[in-house]
Amino acid sequence: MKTLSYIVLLLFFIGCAKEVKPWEKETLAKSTMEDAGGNALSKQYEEHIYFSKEASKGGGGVAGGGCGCN
Amino acid sequence: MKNIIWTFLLGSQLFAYDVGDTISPAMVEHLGLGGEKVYVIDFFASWCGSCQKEVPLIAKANVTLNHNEVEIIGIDVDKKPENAEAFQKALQAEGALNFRVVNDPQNLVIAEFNPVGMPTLYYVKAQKVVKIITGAVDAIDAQIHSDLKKMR
Amino acid sequence: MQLRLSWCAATLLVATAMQAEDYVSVQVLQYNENDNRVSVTAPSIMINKDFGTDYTLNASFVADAVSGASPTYYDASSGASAYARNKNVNVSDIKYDNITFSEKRIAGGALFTSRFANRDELRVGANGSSEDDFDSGSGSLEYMHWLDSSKNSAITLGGSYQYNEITARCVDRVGCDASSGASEVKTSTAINVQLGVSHNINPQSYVDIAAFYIADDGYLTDSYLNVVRNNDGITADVVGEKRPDTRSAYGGILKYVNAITDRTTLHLSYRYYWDDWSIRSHTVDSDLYYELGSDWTFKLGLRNYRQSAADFYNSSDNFFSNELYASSDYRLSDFSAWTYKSNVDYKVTKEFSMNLSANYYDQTTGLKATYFMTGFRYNF
Repeated sequence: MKTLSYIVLLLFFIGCAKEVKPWEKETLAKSTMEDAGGNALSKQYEEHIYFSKEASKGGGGVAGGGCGCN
Repeated sequence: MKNIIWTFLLGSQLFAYDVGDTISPAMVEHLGLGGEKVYVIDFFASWCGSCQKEVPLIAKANVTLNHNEVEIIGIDVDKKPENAEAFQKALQAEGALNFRVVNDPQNLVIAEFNPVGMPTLYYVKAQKVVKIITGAVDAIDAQIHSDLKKMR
Repeated sequence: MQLRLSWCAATLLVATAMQAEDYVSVQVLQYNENDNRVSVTAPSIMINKDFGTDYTLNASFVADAVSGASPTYYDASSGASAYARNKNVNVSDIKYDNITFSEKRIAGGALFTSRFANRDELRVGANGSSEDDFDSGSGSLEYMHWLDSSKNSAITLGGSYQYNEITARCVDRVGCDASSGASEVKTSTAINVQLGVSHNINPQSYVDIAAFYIADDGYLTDSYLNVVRNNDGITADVVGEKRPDTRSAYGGILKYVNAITDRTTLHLSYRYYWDDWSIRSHTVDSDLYYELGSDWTFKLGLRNYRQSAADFYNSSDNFFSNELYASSDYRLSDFSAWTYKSNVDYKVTKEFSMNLSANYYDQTTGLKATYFMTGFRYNF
């Protein structure tokens, strides 16, 4: 938890140091910057495979999206 | 002189045009805002999803405007000229771009206005900012008409 | 002119560009394990549709046909069933081998996103899935709040609740004859809470950090799997495995994405997970995207996963006696795994793109799997 708060604090200062302007977001808007390169279905498959074969889960958000993974 | 002002503004990045502010003489000259009209300045880029939706709607609004009273000016902030060109060509092919566009590949214009989001519309009258609309707005065409009616 | 403060002092939120598109995407998965264990064919479809600038609906649907086998202990002398459980079985008749099964699953989900004037987002989701012996339904709620006026930082809090109905082969009920196929309906629930922060570091990179908590409650045992108890060297009992009725899991995930060059994008992530079954895991994932021209995108990925065993796990047929909880499921063992990933995406037209993905999964338990995904996406 301590580590987490340090990281959040660090991010805060990075943010204060220099913000990304709205017109500088061309790269950030690219699909290759998104999770799974923007291919949400393939991400669901992979999460389902790992869920079925490994004992850990979580971290992928709460919304699910058709995976039906319990 | 222009460059000095822009460099200063770009360097500080702390200033932004807000409602009531007067546009710098250099920018008035650069964008051609010296007339008696209301200027509607729209910042957009090819990579901005909601700009792609908004530009055609602005073009639609432009069809029925009185061009003696109002001029719409697009500012394309694409850094790569080839992207700006391709985007504008595609819009023109669909009849979705019927106003003057100033390319701003070095982002000097938008840095001076310094909006907090994209797309952004600035209404400028007598070199002063009258209104700012930031972000995607449904039916921006109707919004422009009603805004201009109030400014007359 | 007005002085604009950066996000550490900003309180005013104004709308900005958002990335939303209308699209239909279709993918088909073909998954095959070594030794003809499990084979899965699964087609899926996803539709994303904006309603104006304030609402987005995302719906997806997947069907899969699973056939194959999973390994467990069984009584080979019993002709009744491949899952045969019996007490006092001759040790020489106890086998550990693949038990065949086949099942069909359908699952679907919808996520509705609503944006407020300040562009904060509320996302409401529902998911359901159904297979022969497992039905599940869940609902989720998530709120994303922009922390700065330039939309470079956001905090997201989400929660979900899931309800499962499991048709379990009777395992621990007195007088229940598993070999005759008798079963009973069991239930379980899962609560998942996640808190995350994302931040654009510069025009080329961003980080996501999130912490999550998952609480499982109810029937968490796999009713197809057996363990061997009371092995005295001559006879032993082959009985169903048994897991605790609750599981509390915690974890954190850190993601970093950087466009190293105009054409190259690197994704890195690390997840740490721990639960009260004594399972700890580390997941390191990396993907490298390379854009060739304006039409081709190649991806190479490498993922490493390792976990420690559950405290009630043992693989041996000569370990368990009267412990309350016992499982020999290899998925609860101490193991590590590598995934080697590749994908190629080709933009046929401005609106239409196709992809093909080939991947290899290699677990130290002996499990190896090859899976392919292919499909298309159409932006409308």
